[in-house]
Amino acid sequence: MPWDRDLDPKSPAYGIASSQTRFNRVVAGPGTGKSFALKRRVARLLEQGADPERILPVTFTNVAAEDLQREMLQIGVPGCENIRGSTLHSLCMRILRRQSVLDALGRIPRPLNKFEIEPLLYDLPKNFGDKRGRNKRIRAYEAAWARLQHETPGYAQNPDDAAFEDALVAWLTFHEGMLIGEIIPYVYRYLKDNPAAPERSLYDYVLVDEYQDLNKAEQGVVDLFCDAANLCIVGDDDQSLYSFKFAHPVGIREFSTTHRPTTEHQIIECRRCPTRVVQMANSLIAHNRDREPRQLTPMPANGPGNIAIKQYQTLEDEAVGIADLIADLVDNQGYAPEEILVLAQRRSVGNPIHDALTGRNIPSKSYYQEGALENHSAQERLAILKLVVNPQDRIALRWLLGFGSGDFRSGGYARIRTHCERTGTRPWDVMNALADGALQIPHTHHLVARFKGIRNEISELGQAGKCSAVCGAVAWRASGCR
Amino acid sequence: MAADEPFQVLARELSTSADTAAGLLEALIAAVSLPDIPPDVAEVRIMSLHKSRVLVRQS
Repeated sequence: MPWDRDLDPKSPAYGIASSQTRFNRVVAGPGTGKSFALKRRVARLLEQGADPERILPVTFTNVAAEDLQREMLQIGVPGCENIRGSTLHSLCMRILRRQSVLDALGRIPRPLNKFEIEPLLYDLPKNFGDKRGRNKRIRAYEAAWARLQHETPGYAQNPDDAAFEDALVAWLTFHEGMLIGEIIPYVYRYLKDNPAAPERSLYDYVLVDEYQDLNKAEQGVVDLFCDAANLCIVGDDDQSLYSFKFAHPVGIREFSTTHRPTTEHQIIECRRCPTRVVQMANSLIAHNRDREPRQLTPMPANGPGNIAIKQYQTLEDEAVGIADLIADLVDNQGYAPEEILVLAQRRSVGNPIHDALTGRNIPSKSYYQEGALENHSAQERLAILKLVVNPQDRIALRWLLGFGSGDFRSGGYARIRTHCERTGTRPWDVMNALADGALQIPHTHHLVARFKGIRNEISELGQAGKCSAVCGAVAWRASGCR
Repeated sequence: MAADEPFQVLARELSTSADTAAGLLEALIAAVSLPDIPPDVAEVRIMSLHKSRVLVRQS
């Protein structure tokens, strides 16, 4: 299909698809058809001879990358099947796993699950504030210390942050793990410090979706991928939600001044939403500070939509009221459950709604991320399985040793770690020696008692014989039926 | 723990198809870590505003 088939040359989509400028900034509101415009741009690139393997579409989620893959196949241009969409994190993880990069960084990219960060917070020196303060500083470290848009990602700029980073990285290095949020800063530093790195010239064309949700370090990685490449960014500063990871809408607002020459594009007709919803959105986002003035344009053909504001005395009443409303939509108005979305501000609100829907035999699912691993028993099962697979998994062992204690037994564990670092021995081996009485370290008896329990369980699972039996035992014990 | 705890359900489901403990671990980590929401569902979805952004991106 020719890239410009049925495209009005005056339309924003045509402008985006046809632009020959090295940098392009597309500001596109929700439901305005930006994916369509990007697909046409990729189609034009391919038709004009671009190497599909040197085109990189960066998406926000893996599912979005898979969707993009399917959509690329639909454009039917030869070579479209060879375009590989990726999230920035996936791409950076692949880079980190390359041996040459690992050698340069001296770290092992074994990612920590969220719950595995807990003992780290207790093991860090107490002079870095309380647990919350340490957590916040970890997030600043993950943003390569660029807490604000005008700050340059890189190294800690004050002695406190530098000392914190030293302690944090020493813990992670000793435990042979990596924070998910470290991936970007490490790749940034690797690319920045190695101008000849082949990864800096892998692509001729880079397209980035949802640019407003990138923090400064992530923006920096994108720039380093684009040493000589064309870069097209798409986003909406009004939809910036990720300030907790130091993403800042200023990044997309200032793109045109930091990347010259940039061609500007804007798509403002909302094709997705009823007109009243668009009007409400316009009214709400008008309160955003420092935004570029623009209004989403509603499509009259979408109709006004139905909006109701309901208030309830209690959370229980609210859950019942929402469930009744949904039951009416499903039973009497012909809507399928999958067409209905409930936004709840927190899990404690979502759960009663889920229960109320279940009580009415309406299928529902809660997507709160902590769902499967929210309770300690599940976390313990997963940690045990990690040790079954690899007894030298230091992160899993550290978590299990501290599990059940208010401070994760950080005092005794510090002695174990000091011993390991001084002698070059591994935590599992040291714990074994302590458990067998071959080694004595003062004030570690609680840890040793705990370790004996862990070791017994792993031994039992190991003796289960067939792999299927091990898997079954882990799954069965997850129910607490020991 | 209640009989239908998410991790137990997941572990049971995945243990039937995992050939090795390492395979089960890999499948479990993928299942609990990936923030994506499958596009083809048959139920009412309950989530946070942040999570719903994934739906916008998928639409």
